[in-house]
Amino acid sequence: MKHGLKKHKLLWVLLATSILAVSVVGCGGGNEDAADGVTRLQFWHAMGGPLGDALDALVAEFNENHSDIEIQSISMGRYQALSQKIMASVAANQPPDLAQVYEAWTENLIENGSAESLSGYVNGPNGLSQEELDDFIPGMIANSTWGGEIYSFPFNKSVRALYWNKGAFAEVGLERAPTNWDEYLAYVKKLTRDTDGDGEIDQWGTAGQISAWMFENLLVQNGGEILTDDGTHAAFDSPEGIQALEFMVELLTEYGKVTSGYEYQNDFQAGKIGMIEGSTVSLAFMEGKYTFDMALAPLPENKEKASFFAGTNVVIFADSPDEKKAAAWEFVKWFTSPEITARWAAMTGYAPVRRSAMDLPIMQERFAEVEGLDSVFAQLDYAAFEPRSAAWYAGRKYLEETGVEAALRKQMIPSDALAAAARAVNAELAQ
Amino acid sequence: MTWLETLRRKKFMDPLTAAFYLVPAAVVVMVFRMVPIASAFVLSFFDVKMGRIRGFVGLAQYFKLFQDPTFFNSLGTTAYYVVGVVPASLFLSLLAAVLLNKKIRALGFYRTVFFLPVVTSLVAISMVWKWIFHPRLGLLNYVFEVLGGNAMLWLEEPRGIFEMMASGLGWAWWPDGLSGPSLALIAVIIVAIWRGIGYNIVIFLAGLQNIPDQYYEAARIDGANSRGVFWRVTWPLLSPTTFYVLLSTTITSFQVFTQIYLMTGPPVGGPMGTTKVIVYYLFEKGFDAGGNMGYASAVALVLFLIILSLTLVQRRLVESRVYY
Repeated sequence: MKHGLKKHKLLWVLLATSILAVSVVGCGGGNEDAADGVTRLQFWHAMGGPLGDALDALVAEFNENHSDIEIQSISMGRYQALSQKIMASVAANQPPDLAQVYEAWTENLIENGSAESLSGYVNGPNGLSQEELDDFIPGMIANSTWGGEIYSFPFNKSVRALYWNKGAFAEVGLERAPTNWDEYLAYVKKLTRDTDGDGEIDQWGTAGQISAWMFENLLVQNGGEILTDDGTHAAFDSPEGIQALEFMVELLTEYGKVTSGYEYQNDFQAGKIGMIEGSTVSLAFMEGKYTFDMALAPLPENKEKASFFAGTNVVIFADSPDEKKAAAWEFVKWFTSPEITARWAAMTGYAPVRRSAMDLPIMQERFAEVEGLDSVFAQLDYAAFEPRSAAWYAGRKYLEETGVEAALRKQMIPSDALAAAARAVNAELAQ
Repeated sequence: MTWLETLRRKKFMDPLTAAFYLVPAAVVVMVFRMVPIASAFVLSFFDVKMGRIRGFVGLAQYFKLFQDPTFFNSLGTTAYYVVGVVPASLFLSLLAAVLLNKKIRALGFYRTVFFLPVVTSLVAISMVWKWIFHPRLGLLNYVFEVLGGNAMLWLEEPRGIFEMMASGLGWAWWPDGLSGPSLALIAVIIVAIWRGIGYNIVIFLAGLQNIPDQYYEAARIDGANSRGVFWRVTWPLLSPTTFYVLLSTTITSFQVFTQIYLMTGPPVGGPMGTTKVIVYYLFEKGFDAGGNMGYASAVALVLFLIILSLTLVQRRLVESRVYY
């Protein structure tokens, strides 16, 4: 009898403990703000590696200079993971205070009522003057504006650049990067060669990955458009688009190599490739990993000079308490100030978001260090933004998968590939 | 005398004890299985974006789904995967189980070897196999080239294997719809079979050891040869186990996700979407940017119905041949 009692006691204890454990877990997560006058807020982002280190360093500096604010920088590692965490946190009514977001997510967050309008802060007492707003890279504020309200703020935006191996160029008698498509093709032809005389090609003119971004740049350089003006239909399957994709296929499959993911950057760093296109941020990842003389150049132009931005903005979440939102704005304002954005750009290769940042000593030093970086950032004057609707974000996948990939893998000719991609994109846009 | 003891005296205690033991598992199953399944069913009728319910849309998402070519492509890819994995896995694991059921030397060693992939982290397995299949640096192409074969693209090859065979035979033309699963999907299938047989072997071994020895003795006295013993004794008496393995392998194959997520791409599901199975498609819709959770729930429900009806059909067709 006694034994039996003991056993059941144990069961009760177990049950009670588990209920307690569950309820404790359930109650956790609430912000236990200490009454020390410090506003603590969570900033979710996807910066990893050298980019994460740079961001953490700047956040730490901000915290040091603001005794009343403490930003907790939380890296989700990748954009996909970040999007999932934001989604789950919105569903659970526990969003962060500040987060990196793509335009398509912003649109969804605005419709959800989760994104705070920043117009009040921009025009408020701790806001920005018209002069300061005009100092932003053209289009950046407009790209963050929906229905006349500013909902996001430019944070980490990059453009494409040409990375070229000066030594490999010199060996075939070339002294500068190509400036137009004809030169681009002629140069990769020259650079594709057998360097050790064994009858096999061991240096390719160029290399790249399957990338909608690269195609979009070529498309607009060739006078094409991604979508129709009203944004309801694909326009990339035009003759200009087909020509651009044919050019891309010729570059990357005749005189270059298509690799999975970022392997092409490793090949370039190993000196096996003449030149590659990449994001300006690739610089942070390549730094110190190559031994040859390398320089950057803007993308070669064709009918037009054109370049698309990539990267994200930040939003402040509407559900946060006012003092946290104000503190988050303070951080955003600080981060996008000319001095800080210049340092961020120098550390990472992201574009500075302010024009005046280019003239600051920190940027000038960086321009002196990295040959051609100034000419790459000169693209910011005419760089454009992709369509930003959630439907395009979903449809873009088809442009990459059905259009660009099918052509680069020689499974379809460019015109068929783009027609198939346009059908898939149109179906997505129609919904 | 406490009330517990009173209960015990009245023979009340046994069901209560049972309930105590069941509660933790029941809570876990409710919270992590039943409630999500029910909410997925409900959400499939709502427009849900980025974590917020925007409104009731009725069957609209189902109509959309049935007009979505990517949905049908991913269903086809999943079908290829299931057909590629299930029979091969069943055959190989049964063969290995029968051999491992013999009294051979170093039996424990062999059993461990076959079971190792099952207890190894799927992430580690996927990474190692991704390297083995690497077109330029992988082990497999190295072996092929040493043996005088041609290097293949493996996980980066979007062409269907039938089409590749046809072109290998020198045929210039092959019908578009019949190109078959891509070589990339075949590579994933190979890994799935390799990983899965260890588990099935253990189940088969248990089944084999449940067959009483006297049947084998009787068969031997009657002069049956080993083939006769297998088909007349082992196979029928093993049929409940075989049926279970068939069902569970089919269901888990339909739900394949992790390997696709870790081994294919970038972008995942590549090359050219030829490894985009239905559960990854669901994931892409629901958890990738924009988070169209309502639509993803509709996909999940359709998948659920497919698996359910397939299981019922399998029961109908196969169960009459199962001897319990």
